[in-house]
Amino acid sequence: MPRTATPNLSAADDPSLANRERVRADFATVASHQLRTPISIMRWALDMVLSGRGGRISIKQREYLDRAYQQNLFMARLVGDLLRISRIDEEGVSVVSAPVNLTALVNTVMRDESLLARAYNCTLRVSAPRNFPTVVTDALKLKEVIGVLVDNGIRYGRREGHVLVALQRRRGAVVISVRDRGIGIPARQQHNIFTKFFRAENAIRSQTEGLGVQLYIAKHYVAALGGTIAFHSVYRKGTTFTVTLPLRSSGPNGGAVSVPSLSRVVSTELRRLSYHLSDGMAFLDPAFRILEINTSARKILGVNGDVTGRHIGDIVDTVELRRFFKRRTAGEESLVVPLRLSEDAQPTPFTFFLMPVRQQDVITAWMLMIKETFAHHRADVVAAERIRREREFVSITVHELNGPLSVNKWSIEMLHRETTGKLNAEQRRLVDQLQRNNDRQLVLVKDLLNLAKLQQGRFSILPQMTGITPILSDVIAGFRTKAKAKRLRILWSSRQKLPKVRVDVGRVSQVVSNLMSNAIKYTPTGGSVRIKTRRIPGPKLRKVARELGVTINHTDSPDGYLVISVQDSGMGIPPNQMRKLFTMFFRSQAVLKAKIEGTGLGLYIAKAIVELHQGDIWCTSTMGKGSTFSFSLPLA
Amino acid sequence: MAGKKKSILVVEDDKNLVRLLKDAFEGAYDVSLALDWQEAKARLARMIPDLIMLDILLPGESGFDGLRQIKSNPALRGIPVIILSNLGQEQEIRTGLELGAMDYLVKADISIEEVVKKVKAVLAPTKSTKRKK
Repeated sequence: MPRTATPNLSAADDPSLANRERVRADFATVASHQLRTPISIMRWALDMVLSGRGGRISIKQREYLDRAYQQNLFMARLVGDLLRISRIDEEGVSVVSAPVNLTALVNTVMRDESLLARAYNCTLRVSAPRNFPTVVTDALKLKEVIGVLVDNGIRYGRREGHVLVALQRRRGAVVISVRDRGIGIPARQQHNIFTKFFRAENAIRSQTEGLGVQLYIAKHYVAALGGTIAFHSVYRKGTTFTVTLPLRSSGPNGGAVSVPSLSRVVSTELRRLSYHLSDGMAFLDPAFRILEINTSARKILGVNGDVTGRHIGDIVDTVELRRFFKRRTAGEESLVVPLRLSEDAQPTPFTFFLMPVRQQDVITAWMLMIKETFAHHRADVVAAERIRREREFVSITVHELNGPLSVNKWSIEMLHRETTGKLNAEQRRLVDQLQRNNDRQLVLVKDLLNLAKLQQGRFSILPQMTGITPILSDVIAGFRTKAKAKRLRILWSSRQKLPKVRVDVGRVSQVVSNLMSNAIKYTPTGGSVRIKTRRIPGPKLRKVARELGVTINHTDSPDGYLVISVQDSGMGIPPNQMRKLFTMFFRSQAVLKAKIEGTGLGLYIAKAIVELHQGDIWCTSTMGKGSTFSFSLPLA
Repeated sequence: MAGKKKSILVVEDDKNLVRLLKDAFEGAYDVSLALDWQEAKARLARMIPDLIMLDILLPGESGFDGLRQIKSNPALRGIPVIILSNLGQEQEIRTGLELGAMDYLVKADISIEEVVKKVKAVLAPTKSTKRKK
């Protein structure tokens, strides 16, 4: 019997990089793809109400709707950039240097940005002296950086504005400046500008979408290229970004940078990133004294109290580590050391990475990363680093997406409850539209987070012994209103005596909820949804699988299985689509034609949950009559 | 004591959200805002609110840092803190509650009506003046 595709639940150990890259592309592609529809529907509905075509709106209502509109624009931009971020994030800090003709590079960027510039009525200009020297650097990264700065200049610029990119020669370095005559950045916020997801308040007020991620990325790229990036901004006048790059990535040069300002930016970044880092991370000054150290590093090194200013060699308690840090070093170094995290724990190998942070070829700080090593191979550590970045990307993206969605959720709620003013029938219909689509996005973002966790092997279950009846009861109760609205009968007998199971209550509720939701969604009015539970011994389950022509892999539980089925009287599923049912983002054609909203992730996630419980999920269906979704849980 | 409005300090870097909260409270409370923990500290040095609503991901020090500082300061540790964040993972919720927050609300999962209800419950006038649980 053909095995249905099982999600890779231990991606952390999966050596297949191709798989992970596909996984990564999936998350960003899918997120942006799936979110685009509800975002545009909302934009349309907001346009309708704001234009007054639905009826008059009060000042307060306008204020709320404007706010929702802003957030919607921001979402659109964020989603549009997800792919871009994903690609950039993936490349990490590896640099491939070669001689680059800077003038040609800048001209390429301008060409790429010309369409956007036209849309904003912005003129692009380049000023480069003749015979500009070749720079030895990573052309792709640099192109990305200049692109981001020009892009920002166009978007934050005034209408009929211009963006000027000027190249200048300095001793041993080149200076690329990108100047716009835009809205500028308020002084109070200039400190934050390179942190991830910074968005200037006045950018939002002036209805421009802003995304701090790009500047965050630009900063990291420039640092990787051995350069510096700075900016000068005058509120309401404009901003000039200046990137200074050494002519070549090695060789001594003048220009020290004051360490205190670096450590201030660094500590802000570090704290923000620390939550998502299970790796130890610390910043040291050029003399290896501690500037910043995160919680994980403290745990790994067994450090308590304030250690700022102390030499790191003095606070570690292993001879090799002490030697490692006391040694004078000029470049990147690494060392693998087995450490015991507690008295009775087994020693675990940790890899210590020491990386110099350079500003114009002078080492101004050291970055220390401490990673748990699963093997002494560099390749595995690189893979682990990739995974960590993926997790961080997902966490932060989801969090950022939830920002505008929450604001909208509450705005729409207030509009709906008419606390901001009355709504006529047409307006109410449009506000309902807004609410539905905002909720849709919220659900999607939740699903995406679950999806990402599944693929990263981070989706875990906490089983406990429990009766299944209360779980079913709770979930079904939650759907009574929806069912009533469609005049659907829910048929279920809660009086059956059923044996207990060992399950994660929350996760199994999720599965039942998903099946119920589908059943109700895909059943036309006046139909019915029937929930059945029965106990089936293993051998009988094998027989059922054969008879129904479905795959049931787990049939060896000596006490048999509890099988829960949700049967609807809906449109049914065509045989040629049954195979794809539990795959990612499957939406059957009939469903798409009927324009039923859903994310297509629910069943995929349900399957993963059931399989984590050592059960199976399957479906049988008859066109025009209905479908039955069943899943099994082993009895203890 | 009668007639004086209760006060709430909201530490949140999204001004839109704070505006919404203010509107939702309909003037029942004095709401002041701090966009980051630095500003919050400055405000707390001048006045003691009846409730602090705290976001976690803030520019600079995080809400968790702030919460630690509140709970280790004898002048501040009696102020009830409700965390209002979009960081909704089990670990984060556990951390927030362990650090002493009275409640941890995930913005994307809760309606504004429920937020108002919870705030009203915390700020409801009580016969006794005891704050400690």
